[in-house]
Amino acid sequence: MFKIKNISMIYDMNTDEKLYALGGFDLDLPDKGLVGVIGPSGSGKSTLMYCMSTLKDPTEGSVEYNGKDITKISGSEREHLRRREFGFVFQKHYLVPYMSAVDNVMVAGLGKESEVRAKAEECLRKLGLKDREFKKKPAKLSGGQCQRVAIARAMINDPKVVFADEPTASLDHVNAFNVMKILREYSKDRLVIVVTHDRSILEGADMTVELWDGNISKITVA
Amino acid sequence: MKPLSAFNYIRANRGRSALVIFMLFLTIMATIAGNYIASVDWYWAKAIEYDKEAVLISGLSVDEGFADYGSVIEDLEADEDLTILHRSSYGYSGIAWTCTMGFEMGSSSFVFDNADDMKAFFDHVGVECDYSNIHDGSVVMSCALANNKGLELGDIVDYSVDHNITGEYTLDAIIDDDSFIVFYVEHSAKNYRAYVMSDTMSGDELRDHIRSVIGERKVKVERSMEEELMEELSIFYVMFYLGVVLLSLMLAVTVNSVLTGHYIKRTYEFGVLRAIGLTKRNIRNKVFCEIMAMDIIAIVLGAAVVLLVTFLLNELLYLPKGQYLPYISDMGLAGAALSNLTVIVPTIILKGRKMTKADVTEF
Repeated sequence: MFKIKNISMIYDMNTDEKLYALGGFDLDLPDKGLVGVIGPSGSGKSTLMYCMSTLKDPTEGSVEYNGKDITKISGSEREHLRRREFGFVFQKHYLVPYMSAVDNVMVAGLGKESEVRAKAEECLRKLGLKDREFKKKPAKLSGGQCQRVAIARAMINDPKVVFADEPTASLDHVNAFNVMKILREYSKDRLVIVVTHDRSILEGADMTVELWDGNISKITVA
Repeated sequence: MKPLSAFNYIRANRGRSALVIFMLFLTIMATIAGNYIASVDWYWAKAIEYDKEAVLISGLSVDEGFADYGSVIEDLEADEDLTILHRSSYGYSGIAWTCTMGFEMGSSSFVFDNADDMKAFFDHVGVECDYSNIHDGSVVMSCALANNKGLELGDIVDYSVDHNITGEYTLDAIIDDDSFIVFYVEHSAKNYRAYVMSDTMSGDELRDHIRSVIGERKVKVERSMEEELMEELSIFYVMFYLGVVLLSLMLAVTVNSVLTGHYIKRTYEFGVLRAIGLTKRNIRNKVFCEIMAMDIIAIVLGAAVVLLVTFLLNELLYLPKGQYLPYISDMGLAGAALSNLTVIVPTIILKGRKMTKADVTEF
């Protein structure tokens, strides 16, 4: 699904000492499964995710998605891709504070309002939220519940790829386990890319890519 | 309600929205100021309307013995299509009346040489009047002016009470007119002014025709009352619009500052919306709809307050009663629109543009 070729990302281009976030490497990812991108802080794992999801352009190299180099596509094509084919779960849940749980899921939905609402509620139920919690605002939900709402938002359009950037970083062990269980379940017929520095949450991953100083240090395929 | 709808945001952020709505509401208050200035124009409207039906000509002091004036009058009288009202004129400092906030203003005034000329003029412009008591020294007033001055039929309009009057007159007729206008009947032999009327020519056509009759002779065709008044009042209009723009710019800066605070807090919200695929147009629309929704609420509230304040001023403060402040006027609407647009257009453009650049990867 993803073919990454010679990808590099340089921050501070204008300074003498260029800072390589990604050092120029190739990577192929499967069509489905749970892929973990692991590495210490500053290793380039989030930058890799941003480049793969069209949120950032690499300095050099290409990211092919289904045979098309998505670093070369237009802004509207990127928006289309992110809306219909990709889903995002961020480290902090990044829910809109004035919207209810169900509204936060609906903002990403496509289609008629009634259908989107029904689908959002279905997603939230699947992820373990009670009906009475649907109308609660993020401030009234626990960290785990907020992250599940964020996952529901990422999954409402049945994306082919879910990008999860440190999805368990702000959660306790129980909630972290539950969130990973949901993502693992989703990865049975979709691609889920989890960026993390916590090796323990990648137990059972189909593929693990280890990054160090912007380069791949190890790839493990289960 | 759709999650991205403007009213969803306003409902969930009542405090913040109320502050912005209040500031946008202030822009609508320009309506009252505009209405006030327009009311000055409105007081003269009937006089302007009457004046348009006739053309005033004057003899000039350089015309020795007013010989040219006399010959022009003879030529005009020879034209059967024209009616000449000798020794007639108009002015702006008739009986002073108490206007808004207690200030005094001179009413528009017309002077006729005799009752027949006044009747001829009234018939021509369509004013209905009871002429039974009209004689030299009579005054005819609009009912609005009579009410304002507290005068009734038969009352003496005393010079000592009103310094704008040059003699003592009796109020002998009141016409049904809601502007502030007065008509005098006063014979004065040394008055070298005359109104010329025509049943077939419009005011402008008549003016041109009279000019051609006058030729090189030393007789002046006076400007219309409207032209003269507009010249006098134009400075007030310019000051009003300048004032509106200056105040609106200050308000625009304040509103932008308040909204900047709001939107800085919401940068990550828009960053996430961009990340999950909302287009730049979606983001601009959201910002546009939110600000417009608050503006619409402000306009509705502002309009209600303008009407209420106008009602209270007219009914309670501006005594004696009369419609001293119009509820609506072109100038009031233009002032409010100018003020409101000065505030919201840059706000919508600046905030919309900024929010489309929100980037979730920078948090």
